Amino acid sequence: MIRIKKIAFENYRQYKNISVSFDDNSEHNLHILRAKNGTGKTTFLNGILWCLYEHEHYLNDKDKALPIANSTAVENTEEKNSIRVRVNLLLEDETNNIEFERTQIFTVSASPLSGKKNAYPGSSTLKVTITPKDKPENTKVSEDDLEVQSLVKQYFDEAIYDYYFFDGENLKNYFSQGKSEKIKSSIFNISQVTLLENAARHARSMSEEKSRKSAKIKGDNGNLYDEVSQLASDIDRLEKENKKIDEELPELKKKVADADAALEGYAPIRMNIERRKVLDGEYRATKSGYDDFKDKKRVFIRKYLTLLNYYPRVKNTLEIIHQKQKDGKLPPSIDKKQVCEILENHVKNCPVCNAEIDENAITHLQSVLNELDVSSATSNYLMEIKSSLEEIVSECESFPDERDKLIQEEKYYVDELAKKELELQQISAFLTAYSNADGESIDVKKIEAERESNRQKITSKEQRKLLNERDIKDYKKEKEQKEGEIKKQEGKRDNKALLNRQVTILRRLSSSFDLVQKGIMDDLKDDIQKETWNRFESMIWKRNTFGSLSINDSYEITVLNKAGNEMTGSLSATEYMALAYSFTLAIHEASGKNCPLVVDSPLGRVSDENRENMARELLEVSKEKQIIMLFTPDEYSEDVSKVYDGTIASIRDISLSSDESEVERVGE
Amino acid sequence: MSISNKIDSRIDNLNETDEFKALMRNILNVEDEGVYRFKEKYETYVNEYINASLQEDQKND
Repeated sequence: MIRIKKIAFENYRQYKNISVSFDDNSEHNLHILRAKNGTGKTTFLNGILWCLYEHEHYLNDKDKALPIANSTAVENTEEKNSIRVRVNLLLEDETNNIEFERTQIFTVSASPLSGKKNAYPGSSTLKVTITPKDKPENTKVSEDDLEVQSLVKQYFDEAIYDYYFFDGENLKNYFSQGKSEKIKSSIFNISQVTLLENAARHARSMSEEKSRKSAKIKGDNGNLYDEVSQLASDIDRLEKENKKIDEELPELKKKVADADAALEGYAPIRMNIERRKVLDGEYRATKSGYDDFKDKKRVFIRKYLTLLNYYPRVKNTLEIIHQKQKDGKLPPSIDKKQVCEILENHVKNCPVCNAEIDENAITHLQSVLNELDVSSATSNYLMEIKSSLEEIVSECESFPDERDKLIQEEKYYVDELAKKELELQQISAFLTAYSNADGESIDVKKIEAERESNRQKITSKEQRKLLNERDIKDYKKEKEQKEGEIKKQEGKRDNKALLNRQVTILRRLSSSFDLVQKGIMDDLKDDIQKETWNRFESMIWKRNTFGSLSINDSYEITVLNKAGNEMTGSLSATEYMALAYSFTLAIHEASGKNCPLVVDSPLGRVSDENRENMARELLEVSKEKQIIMLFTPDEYSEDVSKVYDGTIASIRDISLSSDESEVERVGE
Repeated sequence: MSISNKIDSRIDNLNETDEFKALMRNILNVEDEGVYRFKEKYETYVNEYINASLQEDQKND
């Protein structure tokens, strides 16, 4: 149970210097303060509200009200001096003493015309001191705005202040439309539903974030796998084809060699065959030379593609260097850094010739320094790259000659090969058309035709093999690249898989927290509904009128009669008050914090026949909850005193001083 | 019943595994502590849950 132990006022309106304690010395935690109208009953309630919230919610008209600072204190204070206004609210729960103390300093000044003194407010501060009962040395003092507001919210959320500090004369506010939303939000705060809501919201936002990240990662390597598989299959096919060619070539070559041997043995054509042998050798040598030439040509093209690309810039840089050399700026004849050091360190003798550095020398060195616009480091660097640049330019300029040489060389190979090929074709044509004399064992025509066919097969297969080898090399390179890409993608894909799993779990968490939150809110609403009905039923004397009560999701209350018809709008003032009490106590119960209830005019609107009933019900409640009631003497009627006198913790009267300027006493 | 107990009981009654319910409670503790960098803590607990689930799956295979 949380209870108010003491309230102390200093210069707060008519409470100039009053302290009221609420001892825990009875079975019933019910305390009564009696005061005539205008004595300071509502001010007492406003004092607590001002202390906690800096607002006096029960002030009728703030703009037309007297200032907070006590008027006698203001009158008695010298001009330009200050007055401290302070309300100290001391609470206790099972483990701590909790002290809320609001202080505001007012500066007094007098009107130049009337001489009347006024108090001008400075800013107010709230200090919260929490002292553990078992370890007072661990007292914690908070003055930070956010921290103290959060502590106030934990005990008496301002959104529903009137459910802790109840005004019996203001019943119409208890069930207004705006109120129900505040109740709902406050129930959210006090019931830890915000914890579930935050968990659901955070899980949802993280799942969305991770889902976006995952979508950005390409997860499908399907095409790459297909491509690698296709390349592997192509390489395999080509390698098998080459293997087959390698198996077939020796046989074909043997057939050609056999044909040559047979033809060579036939005297009439021997010279042709021998010539062809020579030509074949020469053709192969030329062809081999031409292949080497082709490699050289490729190197040449690659080299000049790069050089000619840089040529204009390289030439330009070289011209700048040449111009600087021409102007005597390169190479630097003087070390700029060394000249600077001589001048800065006032060196007496020249480090080169050891001559004395006099005033004239210094003037000369300064003029030399002004003329040097390139530092030694830059100069040295330019000189270093100059020869390389010259080499590049020289190579570029020799490009036309080199190119012409290559064209000539290629022409030679092409012509030579064509010439030899033509002669070989002529020999073959001759032999193919050759007619033997009848009865000769050799058929030159046939042998040559077969030889030519086999030779063409060999050439074709060798060409095919070369092309295959080139393709195999290219395919292997491409396959290697794609495999590297797959490896990279697989790393990303693993990450994508993890992200997707996280998204699934976070979504599940979010929806589960939503479910729990909805359940808790439903539970709380049901608890409040049930508790409100139980209390309402016990406070009302009518037993055959009210049937039930319901609270909707927006925390709006509906009272139904036995027949199930709504009758909220037909409630009497007494019934309305009973409903307000019931709802208030139910909210206290649901909040899980058993906070005190301070009530102004607790039975003011309750008709006679119900007073005793309601007074008894509140007495019963005070066994488990502290209740402080502020009565007018009329309101504290015989019916009520019959229930409370001798039973409750304390009954005290609030009395004003004889000049009615301040509360003089709160006592029995 | 206190609200903490009500939350606990609601979680218990969810149609989820004990491991998932433990994950929910860990996440609620993160919120209760008011951890500023909650994402790191969420991620740690979610990853722990995923790894434990994967190991369980492998064991069952």
